[in-house]
Amino acid sequence: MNPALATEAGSAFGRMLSGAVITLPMVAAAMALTLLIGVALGALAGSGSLFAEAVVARLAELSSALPPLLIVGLLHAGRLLPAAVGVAVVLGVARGIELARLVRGEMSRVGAEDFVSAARALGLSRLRLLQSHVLPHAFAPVLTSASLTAAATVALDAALGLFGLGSTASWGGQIAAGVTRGALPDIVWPSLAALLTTGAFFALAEALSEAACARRRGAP
Amino acid sequence: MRSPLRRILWIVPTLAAISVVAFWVLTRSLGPPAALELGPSARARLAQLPRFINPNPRTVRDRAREATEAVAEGGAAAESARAELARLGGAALPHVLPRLDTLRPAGRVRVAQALRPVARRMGVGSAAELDSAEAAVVFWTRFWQDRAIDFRPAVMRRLVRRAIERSTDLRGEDVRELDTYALPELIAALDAARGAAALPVARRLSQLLSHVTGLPWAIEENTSLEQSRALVVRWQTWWTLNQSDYVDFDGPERALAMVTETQYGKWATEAGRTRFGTTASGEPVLDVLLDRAGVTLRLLASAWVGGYAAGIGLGLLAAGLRKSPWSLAAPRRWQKRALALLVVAFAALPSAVLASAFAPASSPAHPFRAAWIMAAIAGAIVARYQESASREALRRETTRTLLAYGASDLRAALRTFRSAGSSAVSLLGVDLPALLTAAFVVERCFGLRGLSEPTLEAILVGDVAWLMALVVATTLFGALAQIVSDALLMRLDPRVAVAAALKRGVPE
Repeated sequence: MNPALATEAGSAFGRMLSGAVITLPMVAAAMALTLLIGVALGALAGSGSLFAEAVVARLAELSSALPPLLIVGLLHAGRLLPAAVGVAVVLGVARGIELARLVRGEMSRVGAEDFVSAARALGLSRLRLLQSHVLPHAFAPVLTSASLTAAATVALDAALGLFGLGSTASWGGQIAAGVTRGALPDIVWPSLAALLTTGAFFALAEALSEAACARRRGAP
Repeated sequence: MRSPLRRILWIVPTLAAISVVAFWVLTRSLGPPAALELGPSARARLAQLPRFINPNPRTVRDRAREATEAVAEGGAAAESARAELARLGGAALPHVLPRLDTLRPAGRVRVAQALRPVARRMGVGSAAELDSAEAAVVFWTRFWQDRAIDFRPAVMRRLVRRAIERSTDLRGEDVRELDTYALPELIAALDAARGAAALPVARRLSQLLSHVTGLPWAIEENTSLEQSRALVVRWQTWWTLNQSDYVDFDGPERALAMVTETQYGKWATEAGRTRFGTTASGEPVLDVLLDRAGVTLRLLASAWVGGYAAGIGLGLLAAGLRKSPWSLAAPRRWQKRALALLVVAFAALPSAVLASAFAPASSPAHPFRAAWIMAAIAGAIVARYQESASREALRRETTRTLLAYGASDLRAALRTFRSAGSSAVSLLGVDLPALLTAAFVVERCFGLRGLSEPTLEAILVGDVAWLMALVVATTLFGALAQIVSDALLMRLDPRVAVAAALKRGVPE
């Protein structure tokens, strides 16, 4: 192997490791916000209140009108927030609203199922109905969406870097720098790290989903 | 049918609300909007206005009164007040000349002399009448006694209309004698003068405007049609910004001015008047948007059509062929697991990596390859949702019964599509921002001439007009996509429609 290439690959690997200090907290914060906002708003919208449903619908329209790339770019250009914080907050909120719509959709679907009608006929309160019958069945898409937030965070960070508006030290920034300079190691290592991180979140989401399903069926 | 119609009607207030929020975000980051070709003074002028509500909009009456008082008082502020009176010109006369008698003699003389540049511009009064202090007071007093009747809206409109109908020196002089008082009608006439046939009229009007304002934007004999259009837009933009300096608002107009005499009001007025304003390069925003939106829309369409078809198919296949790619103990063939891992890889890799990996090293751009990348990005995410929802559906009692009767996983997954497809269909409306980001990245990597380039430029130079237009366009597009998504969701699972009708209190 060419020693210069090996050195370059080695230093790119080192940069990837140091980039994890920025990227992983960014991903974790974005996911936490996504779950918090998505489940709370989605449950509210799916609970039967037309007002709450209209509010979520308007929020979804607002979120789809302001692409995160634009907002984070503006916050960064206006020096109102550092790029990494901007990505976590803006993406967390935007994907949270997106997730809320998904949860609402799932709750509409599950709410029309026979077992929910039966539970309602038995006199269960709206909160109990949500907690015990509706939300557990909407668990799978919630976890899938939350796990995709990890990928979306790195993707947005890389897109911002590509337009010269993001952090240069994060994985996304390193990928963007690699794409701009044509430096393969700078693309490969952070991409692999992003792939592994997202893959790990996918696996975790699936394991949690399986566990929830097993619990619902009463399996040990 | 009523539900989509109601949603379409909801777009209007939603658009208004979103434009207010977006305007707040954009102006907070980039500063006030301003037609960039009018220079930094225009931006500074807008920065003085409140963002959304102006409880006390200043008009020519307020400005003329303040300037007159400052000139009459003398002192340090008198010099700038004299310049202000000269700038306000004929529009200030109905608010200055009737008050001359109420001023002290020294102040009266100062005000009369401060109006000398206005008289020169109007072509009235001789040097002897204007240069001497006492004579200037007498001149302006007589001028107002003789000519006050001309400074009325109906007379002004008639004089401007006559000057447009037939160009003679005399009729031009009539308008010049009104000076800036004729501006509202001159600008309105310029708005109406469209097309090549109206070019001579636009030329005459722009020359009159240039004369009364001192701005160098007259359309000359040798000015091309394109340049003439740009100059007309420039006059319109200037008028949107400076209208309140030359007109007075009364009654309902004053109430309306509380909204129009704000940064947001100026943007909205300019958006309606000049095709969403002008970009940093001086072109109408709507023209650039329509010119460049084709490429971005094609990329989005390929993501939605190709991506959703492939994603739903792959998701069903991935759910049907195996139970989980992560359950290593399960005796599954590697190629089945590879399919799931491929979906994960495409969903997890940043679009920048995918686009740069498949982008050509040199021009020309490859639009088909770009469309394929967009379909792959969208498809991977849809496949992930579809796979997850289908696997959930496979665990239901009814599906397990189907499996117990000997149906394959794939067949069972296909049978449950109607209920398991809701996640993927819900995505249709909400993943527009993510797809737009991906489209911008793909455009950048493939060198395509879409919306990404002007958007980046707008962020860097602070072009609020472009960014607002982009927000309005994405709002409209996103709202329509969500209506389609909801309609598909109801079509896919009729129980959703029944549940929605019950919620609204419509009998089943």
